[in-house]
Amino acid sequence: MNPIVLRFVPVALLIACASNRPEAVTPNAAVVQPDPVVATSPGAPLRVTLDARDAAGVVHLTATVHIAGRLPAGPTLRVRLPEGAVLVDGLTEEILPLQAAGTTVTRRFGVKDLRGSAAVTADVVTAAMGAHAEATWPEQPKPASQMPELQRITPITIRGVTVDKVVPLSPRPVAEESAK
Amino acid sequence: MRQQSVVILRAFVLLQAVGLGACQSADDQSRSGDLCGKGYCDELWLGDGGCDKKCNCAATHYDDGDCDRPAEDVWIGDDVVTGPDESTTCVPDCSGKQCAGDGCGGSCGTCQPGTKCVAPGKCVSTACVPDCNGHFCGLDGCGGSCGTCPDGRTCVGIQCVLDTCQPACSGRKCGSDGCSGSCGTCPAGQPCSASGQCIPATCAPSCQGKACGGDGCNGSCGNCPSGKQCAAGGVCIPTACQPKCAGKQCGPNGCGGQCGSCSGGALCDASGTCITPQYGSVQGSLKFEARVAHTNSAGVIVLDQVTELAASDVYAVVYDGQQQAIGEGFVDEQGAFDVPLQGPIDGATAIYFVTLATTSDNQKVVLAVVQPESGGAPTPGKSLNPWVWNALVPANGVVGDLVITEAQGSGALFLFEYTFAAMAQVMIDLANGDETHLTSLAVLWAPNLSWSCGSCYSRDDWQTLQGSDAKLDQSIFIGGEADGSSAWGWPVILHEFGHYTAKNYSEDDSPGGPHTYGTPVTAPMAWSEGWASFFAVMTMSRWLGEPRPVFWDIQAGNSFWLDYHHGKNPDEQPIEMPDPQGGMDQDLDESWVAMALWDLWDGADVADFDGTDVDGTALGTEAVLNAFGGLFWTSFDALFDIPDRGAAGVDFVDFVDRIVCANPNLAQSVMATVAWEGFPYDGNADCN
Repeated sequence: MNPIVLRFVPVALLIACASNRPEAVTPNAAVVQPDPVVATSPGAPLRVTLDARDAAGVVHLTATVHIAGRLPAGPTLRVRLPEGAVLVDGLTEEILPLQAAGTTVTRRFGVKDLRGSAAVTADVVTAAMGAHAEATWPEQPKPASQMPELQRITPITIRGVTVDKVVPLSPRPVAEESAK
Repeated sequence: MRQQSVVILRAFVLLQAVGLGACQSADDQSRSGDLCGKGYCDELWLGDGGCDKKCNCAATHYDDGDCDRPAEDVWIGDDVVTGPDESTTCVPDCSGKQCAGDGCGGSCGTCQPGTKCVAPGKCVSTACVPDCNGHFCGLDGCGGSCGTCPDGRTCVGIQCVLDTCQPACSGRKCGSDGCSGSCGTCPAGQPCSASGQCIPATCAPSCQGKACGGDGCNGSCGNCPSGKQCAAGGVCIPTACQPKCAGKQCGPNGCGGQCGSCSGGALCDASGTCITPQYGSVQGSLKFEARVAHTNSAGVIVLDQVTELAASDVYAVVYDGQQQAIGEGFVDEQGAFDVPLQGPIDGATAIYFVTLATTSDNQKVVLAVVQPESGGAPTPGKSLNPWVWNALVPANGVVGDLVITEAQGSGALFLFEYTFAAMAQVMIDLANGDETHLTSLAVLWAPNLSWSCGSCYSRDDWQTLQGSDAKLDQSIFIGGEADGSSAWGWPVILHEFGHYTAKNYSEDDSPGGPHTYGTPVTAPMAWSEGWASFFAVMTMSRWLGEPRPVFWDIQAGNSFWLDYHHGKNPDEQPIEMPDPQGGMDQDLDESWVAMALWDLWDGADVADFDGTDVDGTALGTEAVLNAFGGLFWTSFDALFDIPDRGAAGVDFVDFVDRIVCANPNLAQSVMATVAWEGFPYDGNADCN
């Protein structure tokens, strides 16, 4: 058969079989789908980690800055210390000559009288992009978020689904409402 | 599914409250005045050293000082100006000038030693630092140039616009001429309507959130494209949408309208039946706490503000103490509910609110925000609970004002509102207005619960609901860490939803897996991820009716944001540009794909970012989605010996081919824009 005809006969069949888009995307033996796929969200382009060693009253901090994605400018690295702590080695603020993805740099700091957490931040802000990363030592506890307290109930069926745990609500007191 | 137009309009109200960087248009800000120098805009756009022409409040404070002046003159050299043509009526103009010409051949003054005269007539130090931040061309503020435009474009202000742009002022008395010029200005106190008419000050046109229909002042908010009609609420819906009112007396008709309304004290129940409540009704309101993203004074994205939003479109059902359902309904778009009862209230009667959405016949669950019991690797087959909140009903049926706090899992309702609105949008745009064509989706989230993927979409991880045979075909996993975006990160939610659209209503050949901005990946993966991010900002922009091309996320305390409109800033280049000399199958930065899609799309349904068509193309949603949907057919190309252009699998080249073939009148413009974006598209699409 004419190859041009061969080319369009299956198209006609497909059109006839797939009069609308959603039906058309029903898995078809002719379509090779990739293996199971998990599509993630874009990763942050800038990361900082902080290690420390305490020696003779001076805390030696090592900050590692990793550029995971291209940046529009070199990030500004800053050290933030609690009251009373003194930076005896390293720069309080420095613009790092890093922009390319996949690059890493380390900076070392010496801190005396550290009582509390030292923080190192890295920032880039331009008209087109902003990126921020930070790390603390000793590591600060992460902000907590808890699963709400669920109340067990005698099971009920809502839209075909069995529900046996709920989050109980209470109406806002009238006084609180009027105060808002 | 409930009324889509309501959903979208409701989404506008909801999303306006929580969107990042709610930078209004320059016109809006000029009108409101007090927004200048306050709120989001100044942190994100103003005083950043870049003349990006936003939030302009007064002629002397363009972009909060970032711009020297409006672009109306062309300056040559350091102190010589060519202004308007001299004539017998020429009036010297030295307003705001220290030096240079007065427009009539005279001088506005000379500069002191150590300084020089630069446009538009300022004396600056001879050590002046050139500023080309945000400039594509034009002056650098120190008498130099920020570059020249490529062939086919002319420098207007700081941007390169197409030479071929034809001003369109026919029938318009005011507003943009479509070429960065103006069709005229209205008398003081009279705003300019979307159709270019001056409106008497007593009438305030209202087109926010509307794509069509009247503006309330005898003007129009626009017309729907072919194949679509204007429905209640100013939403364009497919003309083919058939109202589904069989057996219904009231409630939504599935096409943006109503099947009728109840009278004589009757209330509409969830099945569309007018019921005269024999036992009264359960009344109250439902709100929920949400975290609002904004940039702080250091330009860092933070989520430190909590606000209360009204819930909408949430299914509510009333059970008595014997576990008998005695009433059902929905929370309306103002957050109110009035559920008619078919049985008496007893001491244990309670009302339940649930994050489930079904088809209008209640036969199929199409969306559920569910509580995973554990995190880790995304897996299929869980028998999960939706999020359910309840409150006891007092004898008089008046529950009062309920607020779901953050500690009570309000993030789940936030996720439900966003994904429900997105699914309603998909039904209209991609599923022929037919709810039965929707692929069902589970969204798994719980506070403090982490996924190994961070947040992700899985095409193969199906879920089941407790006690139900119903299967939710696909899953979106949202990380619940408190030091991340968690449920509040709408760009990530809509990004993952963008993957859902690609899998079910187009074609997606990405292998998936981790990826980072600014890092080139294979063309199919760049297309998949770029589409997903573009889908996020496009959808939000459509809901808000204004451009919002900013993607952001917070991950374990690390955050970033990226503005696609400014992605081509020559002195920043946050996006890895393609190699114009490379092949069409080259690896690409996913953010370049998102930026290119944004530039191709914007300017039609939603205005260009700063009112200037810098990219030269405004395809709009319909053309973009038609080409996107058409990519499905590429999966059959091999059967017909049709060569796979670009890289193997669906990629940006396939999309441009579809656009060019489907829109021959726009082909030249599209190819010019793609070339301007730096991609070596060859223009040889096989349109046969």
